[in-house]
Amino acid sequence: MTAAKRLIRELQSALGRRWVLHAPEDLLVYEYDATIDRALPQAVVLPESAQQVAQAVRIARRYGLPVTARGAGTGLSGGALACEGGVVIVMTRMNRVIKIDAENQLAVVEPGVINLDISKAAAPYGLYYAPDPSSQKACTIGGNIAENAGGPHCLRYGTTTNHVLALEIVTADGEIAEISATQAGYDLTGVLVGSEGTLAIVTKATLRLLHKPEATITLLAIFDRVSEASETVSAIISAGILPAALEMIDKNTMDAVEEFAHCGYPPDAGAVLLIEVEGLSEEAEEQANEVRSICEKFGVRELRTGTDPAERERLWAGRKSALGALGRKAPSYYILDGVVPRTKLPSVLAEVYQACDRFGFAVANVFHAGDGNLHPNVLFDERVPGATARVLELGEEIMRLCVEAGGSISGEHGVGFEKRSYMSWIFSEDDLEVMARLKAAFGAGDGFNPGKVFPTSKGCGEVSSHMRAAIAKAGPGAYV
Amino acid sequence: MVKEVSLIGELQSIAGAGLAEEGPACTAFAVDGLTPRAVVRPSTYQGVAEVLRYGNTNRLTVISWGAGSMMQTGNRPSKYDIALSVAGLTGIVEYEPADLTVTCRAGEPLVALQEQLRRSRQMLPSGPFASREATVGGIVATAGASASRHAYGTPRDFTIGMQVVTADGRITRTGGKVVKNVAGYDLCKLYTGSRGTLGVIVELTFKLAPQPRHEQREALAFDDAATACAFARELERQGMSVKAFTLLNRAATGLPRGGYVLAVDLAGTQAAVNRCWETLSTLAGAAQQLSEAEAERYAGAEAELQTAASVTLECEITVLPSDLPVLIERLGETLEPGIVAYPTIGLARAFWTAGDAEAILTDLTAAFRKIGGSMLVRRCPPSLKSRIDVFGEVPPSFPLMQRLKREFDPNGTLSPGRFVGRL
Repeated sequence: MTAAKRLIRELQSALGRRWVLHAPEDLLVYEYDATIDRALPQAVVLPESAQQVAQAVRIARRYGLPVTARGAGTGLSGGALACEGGVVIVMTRMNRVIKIDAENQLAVVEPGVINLDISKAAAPYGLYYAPDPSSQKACTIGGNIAENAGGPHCLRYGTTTNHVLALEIVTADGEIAEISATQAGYDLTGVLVGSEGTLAIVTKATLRLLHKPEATITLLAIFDRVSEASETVSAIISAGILPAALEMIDKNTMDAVEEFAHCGYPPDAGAVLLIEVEGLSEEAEEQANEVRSICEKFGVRELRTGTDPAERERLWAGRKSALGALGRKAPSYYILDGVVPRTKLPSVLAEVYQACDRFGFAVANVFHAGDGNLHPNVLFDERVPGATARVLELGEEIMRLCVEAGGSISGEHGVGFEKRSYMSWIFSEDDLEVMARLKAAFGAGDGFNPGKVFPTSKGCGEVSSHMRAAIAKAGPGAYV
Repeated sequence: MVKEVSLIGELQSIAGAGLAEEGPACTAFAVDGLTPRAVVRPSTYQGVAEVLRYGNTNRLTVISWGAGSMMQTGNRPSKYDIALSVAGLTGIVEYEPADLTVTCRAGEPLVALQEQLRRSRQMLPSGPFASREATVGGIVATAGASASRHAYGTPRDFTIGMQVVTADGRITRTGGKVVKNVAGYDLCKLYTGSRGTLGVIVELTFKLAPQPRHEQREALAFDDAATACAFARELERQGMSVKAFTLLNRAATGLPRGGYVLAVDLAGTQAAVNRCWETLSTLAGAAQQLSEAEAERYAGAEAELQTAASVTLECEITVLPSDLPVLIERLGETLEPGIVAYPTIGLARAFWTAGDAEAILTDLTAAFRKIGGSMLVRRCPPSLKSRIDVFGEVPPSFPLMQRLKREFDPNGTLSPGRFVGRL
């Protein structure tokens, strides 16, 4: 019997025949994520317990094969792709909300639970889980933890890392370990979040839940020019107001959305801000009034307000359907994720438009303005010869703009293999070598999710194609 | 003796003649009765790096210092050659209020930083701490949490970037200067609370918060801890704008009669604070509400306990918030220590001025096995430190922590023996 067959046999006896996939047609389902790159694993397993995860890890390691954990596959940096083949462990069967402890505001969940399902389970207690990536109806909490996922409401409440209290993990040697942010010693939980599946596999998570605010007011502010909108963002933060969310949509995005969701955006408007304030009703009202007067100071042409859930949902509709709507504009788009200090937003945004003009591509910006987290989506047609290469070149230039403004190469999508080569723009060899020490301490070597985060590893496919990761298939299944 | 001369000579040539000393100057840098052979106060990051490189190469151990206000917490060092003070690395490096972030050097006192930030109506959402000298580096290195963590979290939540000098003397960066950043491993989390055992923090970038428009302190009297905790959690459930809940027992308030005081720090817009006050008054009976003057008096109670020389044993215990009343009751049975607790967080600090520290700890350790949670002995008689681990039982993931320490500090240069499990 060949080694490949023996591997499948062993996995089958550990997990059951049904939960081990190895036929080429079955593997195809797991060769992609929300990017266009693909990588085929040798086997896919769907465990139902931490013990089965540990067994699968031990078996794969014995065969010298790397292991890549995968949730819903909505990632935007190639994080769930088995770049060097091996075994993909799909966590979606481990999807139980184990416990909602309302008194202590905690949820204990398995990694395959869908983000929004946590808030649904907590809702009867007046609680919810705050981090809300745009893909929250589909993405899993395990993937959120791996990527330290963000979302519109992270402006006020912080990203995933601020809400994970403890984890159960399977280490590279197939051991199950419990780590907690409150236990004595090093904060292993803190370093695990955002480690992109390279250190360990999360099999259980304890999360912090928040009480739903008494009042939420959503304001939609329409501006003639992007510059007015981005100056308004800075002015709101300067005034000592920290909204729950502060999002921006530019003209190209509005055009696409208007055809699709009919939000009533004026055809000649330049940008829309979505501003959400929360708290006690008195506080929310007071902040909404202040925000209104700041918007007016910067020449807002129309302000809409939503206070009840249905009205607010309508105001959010354009933002939420933005990426799906872009599919009408062009067959392909390249989703970028960069961060700049908030005060640099107006200038960097202007430079992004200039760069896109120079390259001759249309760009649609829809992003978390309050955090300075940009998402330029470059629209193009992949079938046009040379277009992909040009778009990648443009993407690199935009990332450079962010770094030169004092920012970073990723705010929430992760480094994955897409941005490995940019790591050296913001980190020195010494900085990266210290990160490698952390990886060494976890003993993962290249056993977990190889080819990610670090610039020196081999990547998926050919080197020339490794930055294509975030060129997404246009269509409704995309989020940003 | 020749070696002694070469050590101080070497340090002086690194940091400058006046910035490295031996002899009497070292007494102030003693840790648990161990006095270093030399103290050095580099004025640059490069100086810190050279000191560490020198120590690491020559198998000399280094304990890093800020203001020293938290140095009594930790296991006894296994060896102590050089005290490395970063108290000279002060000042703000970059502060643009509209970015709502600040970068400053590690030796910057929190009080001084807050003073600067206040001018732009912003703040580092941390503190206040008992010591006015406490440095931001020290606060982060010890994961110093204050009552306001109820609203703002702990240093791990608002530290977004760092420069850290490694044991082998490399000046490294992690994180960045933007509030959202997922590039690379988040080593800030690792260094926060690592008490100088993995590297020496020389620069920090923080996420700031706007200063609340209005603040008001209320205090209420309760007969028992359970009712007080339930009261706090009810206000929390109703979404009241509270910055901190602090529960004090009789011994902590110095009140002649029994019972507990719950201090509630309201913070927000004037209208929100007024509304909170109304809710609080409705929930509480009139007799329970204490006067403004009384409420103010309790503001300093914790700081007083933390700096009181008469305290012989100080413990910090973390449990689930729902277990806090049981914990407080149990603590009260051990010679009635002063207790300061945070009901929504599940954290209690207990201060004993009398009794046999070892006997109290043995008793408490047994109690915690039942309740669950973790205990840190922040202060105890130095003689006791040879027999106990002040961080309590090692956590289940201790082998991973040992590997981390070996990777980051293979020679055991940085504060050896001081951390959990005597790492």
